Parts: sequence; C-alpha cells; structure tokens
Amino acid sequence: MKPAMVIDLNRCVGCFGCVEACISENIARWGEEGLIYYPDNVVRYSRTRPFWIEYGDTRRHVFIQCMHCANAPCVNICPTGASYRNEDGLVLIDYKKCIKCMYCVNACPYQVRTVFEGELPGEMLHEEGLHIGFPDKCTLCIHRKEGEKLWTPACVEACPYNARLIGDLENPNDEVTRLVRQGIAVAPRKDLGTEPKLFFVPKMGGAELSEYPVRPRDVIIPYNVVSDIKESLLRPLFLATTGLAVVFGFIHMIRSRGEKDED
Amino acid sequence: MRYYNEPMWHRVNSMINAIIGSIGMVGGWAWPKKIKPKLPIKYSPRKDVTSIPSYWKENGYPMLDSKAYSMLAIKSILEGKPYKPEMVVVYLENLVSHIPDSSSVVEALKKTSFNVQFNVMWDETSPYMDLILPIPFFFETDGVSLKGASKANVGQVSVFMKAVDPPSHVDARPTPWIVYELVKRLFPEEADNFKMFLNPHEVWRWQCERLGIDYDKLIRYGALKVYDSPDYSPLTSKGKLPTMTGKMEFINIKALSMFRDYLGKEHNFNPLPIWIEPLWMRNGLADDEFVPIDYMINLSAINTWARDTRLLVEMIRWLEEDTVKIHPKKASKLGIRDGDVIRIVNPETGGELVVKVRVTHLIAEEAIAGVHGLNPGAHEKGMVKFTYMPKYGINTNHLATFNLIDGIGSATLFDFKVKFVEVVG
Repeated sequence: MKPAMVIDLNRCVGCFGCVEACISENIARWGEEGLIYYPDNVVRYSRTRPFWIEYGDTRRHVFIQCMHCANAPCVNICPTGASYRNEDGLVLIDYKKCIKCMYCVNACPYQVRTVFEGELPGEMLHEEGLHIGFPDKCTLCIHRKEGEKLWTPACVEACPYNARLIGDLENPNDEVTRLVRQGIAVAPRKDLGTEPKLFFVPKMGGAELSEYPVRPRDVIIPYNVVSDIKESLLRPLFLATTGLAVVFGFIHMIRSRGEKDED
Repeated sequence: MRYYNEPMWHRVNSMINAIIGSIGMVGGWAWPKKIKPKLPIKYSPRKDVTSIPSYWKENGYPMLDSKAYSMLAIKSILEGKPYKPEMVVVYLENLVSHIPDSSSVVEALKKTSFNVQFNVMWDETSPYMDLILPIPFFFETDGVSLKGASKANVGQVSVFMKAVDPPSHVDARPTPWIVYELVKRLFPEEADNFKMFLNPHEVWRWQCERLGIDYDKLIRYGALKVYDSPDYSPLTSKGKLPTMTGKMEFINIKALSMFRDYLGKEHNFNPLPIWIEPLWMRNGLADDEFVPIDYMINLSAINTWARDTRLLVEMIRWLEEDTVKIHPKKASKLGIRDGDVIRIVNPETGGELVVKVRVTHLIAEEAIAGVHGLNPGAHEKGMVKFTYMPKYGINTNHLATFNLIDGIGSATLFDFKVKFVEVVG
C-alpha cells in the first residue's frame, strides 16, 4: 500500500473544516472540562495549515502539511533515525529516538513541521497526538489505521465538498491514482526533487502551485551536507575502524600463537 | 445572493421558462413546493389596540412587510407612535448589531422601562437589557416544530433533536417552558393551548399525522423526504397566477398602476428598473473618505455564537480577516501602514469604529472593507463581555445612518461614507 492524498482546490470553498477536524483530532488535549486548546493561535499547530497566495486580483488558498516525500529531507537529515518512513511510505516520527535537535524542522522545504514549547494540561487524545517540545506534523491520521485496509484521515472525513481524497497509489483503480497518473493532480514544486505524496488539483492556471510557499534555499539546513558527512566521513571512519580492528585482531592472534609455541 | 429571495426566484424561473418555451412542461425550470408544518396552536390577538406594523402601514409605509419591521419598531419607541412602548421583548435578535445606526437603537432601548432578552449567549444588545433569560442552543433542546425545506426538487422535513445538555452552570430553560410559565400567570385561560409545547414529541407526532409521514421513521432518520417531483407549472389550483392579469407579467402591472407617478424618477417605487447613483459616486470622495463595505466569508456568520467561538475566531485571525482592507494608493496618501490600528467615523451619525488595517491591492481604491460583524463596537468601553471576538473587524451597522426605505420601512442599502480620523496604534 502506498497512501497518498489529493486536495482539489476547485472543490475547496475555504470552510477549513479540515483544519478544525485536524486540531480536534490531533492537536487538542482532553481535560476535565472537555477539549483544551492552546494559549496562542492553535491554527499554527494544525497539521494542515491554511495559507494564501495573492496574485493579480486574486487570493487563493493552499494548505501546508506534510507531503510524505519519498525523498524526504527530514528523514535524510535526522541523525538518530527518529524521522523515518514506515512500510507504507509515510514519514513518521519515533518520539523515543528524537533528541529534539530540530534539524528536521529546518530541513523541510515545505515548512510543515511545528514545535509547541510550553506547558499544557490534559492528555493527548491518542499516542500520535502533538508531543510538547517535539517536532510535529501530519501523520495522515495513521492512528486510525486498522489492519491492512486504507483508512480515512480526519480532514478527509470532515471535508463537506469531497475536496480531499485519500487513496492508494499502488491500486490502479483508485481515484487518487487516476488523478495523479493523468496529471490532473500534481505535486507542488517538483523542482525540489522531494517526490511528495500530497497532490493538488490546481485551479485554472495553477499559479497556487508554482507559487507554493517554500522555505528559501539559503535558510534550509542542507540535508545533503549531513548525508555527505554520513557518506564521506562516517562510512570511511567505520570501514577504517573495522579494518584496524581486523588487523589488530589478526596480529593479536599471531602473537598469542607465538607465545603458546614458545611455552 | 446573500439571502434566499423567493419572489425573485419565482420571477426568474418564470422568465427563463418563458424564454425557453417550457411553461408548465417537464424539463423546464421548476418551482419547489412549499412545506411549512403547521403548529397546533390557537391564539387570539387583541383587536382593541393598533399594532405597530398596522399603524405604520397606514402612516407612510403601505408596502411594509408585517413580519419584518424591526426598524419601524425602533422608530415607534423613539417617536412614541402609535403609543410609547414601555417594555421590549427581544427574542434571539441582536438589535444593536443588526440594525443600521446602533446609536439610534441604543437610544430607543434606553427609553423603555423594562427590556427582556431571550438569548443563547451574550451579544451587543445584552448590555441594554434589564433581564436576560438564557435559553438552550438548538442542539441542547428538542425543536418546537418540524422544519420544512423545499428549495430544491426534493422537499424534506427534518427534526431538531437534543444532542447535548446545556452547560451545568447555566440555568437555560427551553423557550416553550418560559412561554408556558408566563402564559399561566398572565393569561391562565390560554395556558392549555401552550401545554402541548412542553413535550415537543407530541407536537411532532401531530405534525407528522397532518403531513402524512411516519413519526417513528422521522425520529430514526432525523429527516424524511416529502416529495421529489417539483411543480413545473407556476399556475395555482385556480388556474391563474396571483397577478392583476392572472397571467405571467414581465412587468408587474399592479405596481405599474399604483406607482405610475414615479415613472422616470429616482425612487424605489419606480416600477421600472432604474439606475440610481450611490451617494459617494454623486458627491465624490475626499482623500480621507471611504465607502464602507462588509462581506461574509466561509468562517464568519451573523450569529454571535459563531463570532465568539474560539476556534473559528482563531482561524479568522490566522487568515488576517480580523482586519479591514485598504488599497495601497489610499494607504500611502493617508500615511497608513499595514498593521496600523485606525479610527474611522461616519460624520453624519458620529458612529465610529477602531479597526486594524491590512493594505492590499485586492480592494478597490474607494473602499474600506472587512468581514461583517466582528467588531462589537462598544468593546472598548468594556460594556460587552465577549470572550474571543476580534475587536478590529467591521460592522457597518455601527456606522450607518438610520434611513428607512420610503413606503416600505426596511433598511436602505448602506449609502454613506466614512472618514479616516487618525492612527491610534
């Protein structure tokens, strides 16, 4: 299974039911008096955040959320493997491995990851809910997954106009697969080479995709530097250490035998 | 269309059907059938007093809609005609926010001796009440009556059923309970007529019987279809239209005969379409003047409870819709920068608002525009107790002039200018 999401901007009326659903499902906490929200604007922490692009005499909305990239900078840069791709190709966070270095937050060109610092009463609504002090992002509501069946994320369920679709790119009969294969649904900023699995059906002209908000290159932690370090320094170091261990082991073995023979 | 305009809808239907030659034929544009469940109630209004709408119908407003006369009710209080009302009962209405020229409404509410409001939460009118009776939201109580919807080719009846209890610390009582208790004390002989409403299920069952639908099924599904075939003919059962000629009229003959004298004049009684220049177009705009415009977005609503709901308000703030929009050219002329908080005033009424500016080329140079109803107006004076509502939006009613449409008595379209006074923050 290779889950992917399509957001049809022609159908989206900007009611932001998806945002409300995401906050209520993943971000809000549960206390004695019911749902607990955040001290500042809770929309900032929604895993699907509305954003707008103005051009000409038009204002159009897009959504900033995790693209679940096949070539994800956040996964590539993570030094501990806390950001990882699961068996379905979704980018997730293992909070036990996360050391809060925030490299992933600064490496994501789509600026999808947020961090809530502070204190909050109440409990998370599920184990994939927002963890205070850790990077946070869309999980496609994986906590709803049961067995091997495709599940419905909260935002898809909430959309009154079916502007959001979830599908399996490995299923040729899936509507999402059809929209992507026929080029009706396209990923924003393909030039970044991240191979996202979140696609948009743009409105006429598709300016919202060419103008899709990304972090300027000069402020992104270049994940390829860390990848290069991994490749150019760590691997030779590992090989050299292993080689030396083998050599010293061999010498030790020869010397041990010599001592035995002398005895 | 902001509001569903039934007469205009029927007129447009008729015109299109006439043009495509499909009057009364399947395939033409259709007329939805009306579904209006009746209520099992008998009441006898007093005949020895002149009601406010009937007085104004005879005194300058012959075209008054007897069900929509809130501005004339305010006029009655202000002018003491036909009598000086001593008590005002406001049922789920936010008069101060919803009637053009809030200051006139406030003046009227201060003139009466006793004001009572039935409301689900605090609003701009509440500070001027002597008694506020908290009532439950529609989802906290069973609806009094079934609801009919017939705007498409499918007509259905739905029922509002209680989903949650009101908050435990609020003594919110259903309206029928309050009304019954009042009637019991004021008009004991009428009390039995209202007793049935204490148990809405009894009312629903009564209405279902008359509509010919299954009560148990309605309760199970929440809504039931009553018809799915619309009327293709505009003709009534008598075989003619309720027009003067009994036939379809592209121009209303009755209106033409009544208001012949207004032909060619810039007046709303002119039976023919006429272009009347708005005030700002006629008199021009000074550099520091704007045409105020408020608009609706998907997240805004005229209901106070939606304007004061935290998540909705935070989304409005996130989208920077708690601001008023000004064109960059105008902003630069007046020295206003993006994010400034400014004071605007209608010199005619003295009504003023403090608003936060967003400079954008998406707005016309002449206009100052913002989402309707976010700014409670009196917020700064600490008179209102809103929890989350942004204080910087725009509500043209707080600025507008108290103008009535000649002969009709409802609010005129907003045709006034506002003046930029100063940057306050």
